[in-house]
Amino acid sequence: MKRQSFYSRNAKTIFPWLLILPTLAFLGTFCFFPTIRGFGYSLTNYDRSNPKIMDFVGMANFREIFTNDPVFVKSLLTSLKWVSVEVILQLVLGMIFALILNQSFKGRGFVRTFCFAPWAVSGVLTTMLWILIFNEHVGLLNNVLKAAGLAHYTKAWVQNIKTVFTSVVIAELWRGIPFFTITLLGGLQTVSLELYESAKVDGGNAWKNFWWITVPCMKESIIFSTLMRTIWEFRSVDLIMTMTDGGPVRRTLTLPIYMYKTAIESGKYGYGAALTVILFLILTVYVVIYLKANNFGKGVNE
Amino acid sequence: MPLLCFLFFIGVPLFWALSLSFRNGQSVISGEFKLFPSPATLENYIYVWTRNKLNTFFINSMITSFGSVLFIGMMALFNGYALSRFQFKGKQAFMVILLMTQMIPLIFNMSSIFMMMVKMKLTNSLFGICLLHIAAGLPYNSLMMKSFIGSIPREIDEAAAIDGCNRAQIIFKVILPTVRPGFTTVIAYAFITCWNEYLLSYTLLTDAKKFPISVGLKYLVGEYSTNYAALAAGCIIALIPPILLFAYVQRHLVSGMNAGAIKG
Repeated sequence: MKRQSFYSRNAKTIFPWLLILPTLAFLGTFCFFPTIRGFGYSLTNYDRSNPKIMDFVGMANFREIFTNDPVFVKSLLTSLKWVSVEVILQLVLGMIFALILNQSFKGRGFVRTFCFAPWAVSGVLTTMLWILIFNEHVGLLNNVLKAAGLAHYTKAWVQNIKTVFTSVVIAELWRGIPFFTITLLGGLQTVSLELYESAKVDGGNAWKNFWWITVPCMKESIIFSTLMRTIWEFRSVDLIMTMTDGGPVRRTLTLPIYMYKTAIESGKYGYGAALTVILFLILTVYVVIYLKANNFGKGVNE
Repeated sequence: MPLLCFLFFIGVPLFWALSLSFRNGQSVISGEFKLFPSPATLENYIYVWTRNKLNTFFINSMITSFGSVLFIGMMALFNGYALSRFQFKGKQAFMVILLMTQMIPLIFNMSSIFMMMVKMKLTNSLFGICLLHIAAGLPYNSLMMKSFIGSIPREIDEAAAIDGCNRAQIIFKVILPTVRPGFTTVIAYAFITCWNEYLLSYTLLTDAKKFPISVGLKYLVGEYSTNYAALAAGCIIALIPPILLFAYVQRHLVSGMNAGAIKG
């Protein structure tokens, strides 16, 4: 038992602190400091176009947002719609494909690699690939419609207010489903096959097996991936920003994009920071409720 | 059958971009519908690489990605080692800090970061971008590294310590070779994230000579009536590094991501 003493002997040294110190410095400077600072700005009327004025205005920004800002309400609703559509579709479809890919068939390795590939292609590249599909003139979609004799259905999919939301949702699904499939596939591998064997004896069918064995066993994976994904989709900007820039007519203006436009593009930092605080609070409340409701996190402290 | 639909859905955008990229510009503009380009041409690749300065963007992306990944890999290795092997005061707090950064999305900090970088005179600098990439990439990769190192039996490095290895030797000569697959995965993951990063570079860089490929591609659209064939070629070029890396580490990635998932 002499061997085990190596790390416990070192329990009092500062060595592990030396190891994590650079990371703490980085995160402190570039993550936590800006966050706290941003929260501070939310109480001021700081404006980049007029940087000499920076007055403490208390809750004025928040009052303005909640009582007198229709764009805020609209962008919040768009955000909620965006997140719920994306997460639900990604979970359901990701689950189906994870189940399929968990079966053994010829060429599974290759198919898996191929299916996960979009995950490596994030943001802007996804946008570009889908622009080439949805484009009015060179886009594949319109070309196919024309070739099929449905020329009157062709439109500029991303510029049309009726189709823009669906178009963006599909593009986001393209890169989102693989993430779910990867995580759920890993979860599926932890389900013990014996459970299915005994279920067979009891005469369960495939649906019952899925519902009573697979889902409960994968609960942790499902909860984790939906949580991460919700946060991610809620804050995601790159795809929408590059594809539609919130337009047309604010049809795809989600809360983070509204915030970005206010704070960075129009330079109204104070107001933008207040929007940021609201975004942050919404996410925090969501995370806490979600984790409480699912009784999750027992494993976090090991 | 559903599998075929899925493969179709995944494959179509890639295939179409590939097909467009080999067609000559004239036939794309005239709106001809062809699935397979004939005659196939490389002119779009040459055009986009030289005329649209994609070569500069590509090199910028390489510099920032490699620069950041070097540090992320190192520090993630240190963090992972510290977290999986030592019991120390503040370890729990450090874990919470790492998880918390995942809860505070980058976009929340964007305006403060922007002002900070203006004050530090680090806008329009690839070095500044690297610093931010490192900060953004550290938490998740450290957690991934922790679970990879945690799966190595302690006896290995304890034995090395008895044989007289000092701490640096343990990390670099014992832990690093043993955790190679995991380390490669972390490096690849960090690289892919840096390569695809858009928001930071878009906000902080205004000088077109400094653009990474993600921002550069965006500027191909609508600069002077978009050349879609060239855009498609640009996409394919930008896709090559992440896809290659991804294919290389994909097997380990599945287990690595789930290590994170199961432990929360």
